[in-house]
Amino acid sequence: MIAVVAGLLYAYILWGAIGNLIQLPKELGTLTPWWLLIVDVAVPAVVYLAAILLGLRQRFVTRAVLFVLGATVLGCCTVGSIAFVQTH
Amino acid sequence: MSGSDDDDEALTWAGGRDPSHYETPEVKPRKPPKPARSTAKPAAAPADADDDDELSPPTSAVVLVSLGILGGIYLLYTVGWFVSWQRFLYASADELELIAFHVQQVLAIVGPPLWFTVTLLLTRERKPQVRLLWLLVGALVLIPWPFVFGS
Repeated sequence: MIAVVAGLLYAYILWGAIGNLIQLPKELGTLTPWWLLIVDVAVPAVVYLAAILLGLRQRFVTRAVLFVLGATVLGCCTVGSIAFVQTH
Repeated sequence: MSGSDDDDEALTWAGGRDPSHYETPEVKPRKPPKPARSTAKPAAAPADADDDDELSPPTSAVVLVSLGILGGIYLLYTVGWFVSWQRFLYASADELELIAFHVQQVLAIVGPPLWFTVTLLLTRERKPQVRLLWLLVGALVLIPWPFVFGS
């Protein structure tokens, strides 16, 4: 159950990253940081898989905490990416 | 027969059966309690040993120092994310996107202390190296880039 809820939240972040991958190159042109946009798309999936694997034999609370921790990592990556695009 | 009665009498005091005469000082010469205490110690020793076992991984000086350094780094990260949250300006026409951004900013602030705490809790029974490795991974993943970029 927690995996489904977390999956939806992570999917929203993944959706935003895919949107950036499509939209930003039109705005930034040759200055597009492709590596960053690709990393932003990959990170939600990687973090979700990591949270699933690390929480395999854990209690519900532990699995929930791992998903929250994953969300914090996604928050760091997203805000960091926006800061990079703004400053470069 | 009478000789044995005499022996019994010789070993008892006349008022020995008087309850008021029950001599508490008799307890004094009983030194077996001390050995009993000493025997109780081995019984408690396994618990102490367990405590030692639980504490034994971080008791290494190197591990302790490493944990202290990493704890300081995580604290700096938290401050870095907090400062960037205060001065980071982000505009978007999409209200939902704006809310999501602010939520992610808060999550970013919570990230370092949460990673540190969760790592210490979930790796209690693991080797100190594993614990330090996970903390190093967190220190790489949670770098406050907005603070570094000055945004």
